[in-house]
Amino acid sequence: MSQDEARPYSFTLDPFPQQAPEWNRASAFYDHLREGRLTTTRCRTCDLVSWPPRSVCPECHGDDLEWIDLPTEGRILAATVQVAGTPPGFPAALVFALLEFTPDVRFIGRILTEDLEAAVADRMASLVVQEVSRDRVVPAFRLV
Amino acid sequence: METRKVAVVAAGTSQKWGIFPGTYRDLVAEAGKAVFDSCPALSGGDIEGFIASSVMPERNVFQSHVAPLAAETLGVRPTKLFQRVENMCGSGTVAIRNAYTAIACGLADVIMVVGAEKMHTPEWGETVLNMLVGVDREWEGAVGVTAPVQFALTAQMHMRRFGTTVEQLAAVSAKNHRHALGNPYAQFPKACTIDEVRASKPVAAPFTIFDCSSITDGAAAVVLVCEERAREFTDQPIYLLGTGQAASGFNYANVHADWSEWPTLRTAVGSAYRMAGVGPGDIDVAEVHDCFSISEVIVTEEMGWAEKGGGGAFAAEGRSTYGGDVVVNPRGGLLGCGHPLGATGVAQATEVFRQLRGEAGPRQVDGAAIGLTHNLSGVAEHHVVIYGREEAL
Ligand SMILES: [Zn+2]
Repeated sequence: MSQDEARPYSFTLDPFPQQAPEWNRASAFYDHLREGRLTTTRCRTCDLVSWPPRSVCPECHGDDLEWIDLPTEGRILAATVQVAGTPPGFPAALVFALLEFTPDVRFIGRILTEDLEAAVADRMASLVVQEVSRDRVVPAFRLV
Repeated sequence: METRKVAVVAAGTSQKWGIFPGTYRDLVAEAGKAVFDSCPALSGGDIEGFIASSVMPERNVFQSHVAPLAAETLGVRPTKLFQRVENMCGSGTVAIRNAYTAIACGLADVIMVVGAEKMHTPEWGETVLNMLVGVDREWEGAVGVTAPVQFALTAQMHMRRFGTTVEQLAAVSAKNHRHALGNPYAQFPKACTIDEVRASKPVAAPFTIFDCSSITDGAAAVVLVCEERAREFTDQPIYLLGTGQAASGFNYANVHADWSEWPTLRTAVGSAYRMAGVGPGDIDVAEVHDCFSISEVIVTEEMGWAEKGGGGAFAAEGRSTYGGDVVVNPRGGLLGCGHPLGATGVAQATEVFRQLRGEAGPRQVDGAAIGLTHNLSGVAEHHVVIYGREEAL
């Protein structure tokens, strides 16, 4: 067996988070995602909704948090098409948009589209689930 | 509180930025040698404090604990202060602020700051993959978001709100590549027109390759000392007059809502102006963080040089080059020099040191007396230092 074949899988050489509960207190996010739900945490003590999901509230530092559903459609605030310089495993062209789900929850999402010109400000995009390496999932979006 | 004044007495960089033909150690050695060679009165034994600024050697050269690596390489045995700094792209200026603070309060008299980043690996894909450690890897890196995407979206927001054009962005890029022609260590010295910038390889709309700073190996070092001892090392110390810093958030999408404004930069530079007792109009020369062309557009606005929304026109009208309001990025900035993360802020300080001493050769800004460095670590984390000649104290 060559040295390369003997090498174990290097988890820090892929960018995907560990999603099982023994590795990640936000593992429910990924369980929900597999069901087509986009969720985050709300603090039961001070009502703060956070993105990304938390295990301790950044406002009151309480740890009594619950999962809430976000809208699965977000409004595009800005978009770009990346055609060069993408990381390995992310072949160009890639469409990205800053998406707004609530007034306080925004994130940058991949838009899965054949039409590279179609993602523009004020269009809506809805959640799809992307399978990635080693049984993990990440959120992605399609234009509606 | 009464604090001591602090001066830079020596500075230097590695010789040619780009793909460095040597190891991380070799890179540190080359920048350190430049500093010691430039200042005969300075030896390793004079240095009481040592700060290494390096962002991702763990990824790119499989090495942590780089402060002792660098100190050993340069024959320095710290007796008063010893650390590494990592704040992503702004690390170098953060390190200089730490050195300033320690000297100002009397913890050490003489501190060396070395910024070094060897980003290239033999495998280009691995080098690009490694850049994902600098974003929110779980929530942004995991879907492929890197800095060009974040700043392209920033540019889209600025263009939509203020009508900034791609030609104005290209004017920043053309200027800084042209400025780099006078800088021997610059990776991308190039006389290019706005049309040539626009016609170069597209990266992420609206950016072409010329709108983006590159992955670069490079190193720089400076030595800071207390005022009382400055003349042991040089007849022309350059003083740190003021500094400021502000930051908000990490997950890029949520630092604040509208990325066409950078309120934390206004806070940071406001602190620096107040501490230095100067205003925007007093700055003769500035090295600012043009990681992408849009960054310089927004920086010139938030610094108070251009009106808000007018940063594109400010560059296009020649107000940020020789003969204009303030010479921005005379060494070529990050666009012209490349951007070796932890080294960039230290190299910015090196350039302002040389400019204020009249040692910048073909890129000298005539009569430069007050200079500014601005380093950022994302749109909402900013680090600013203002320097002046002795008479500005
Ligand atoms: Zn709370």
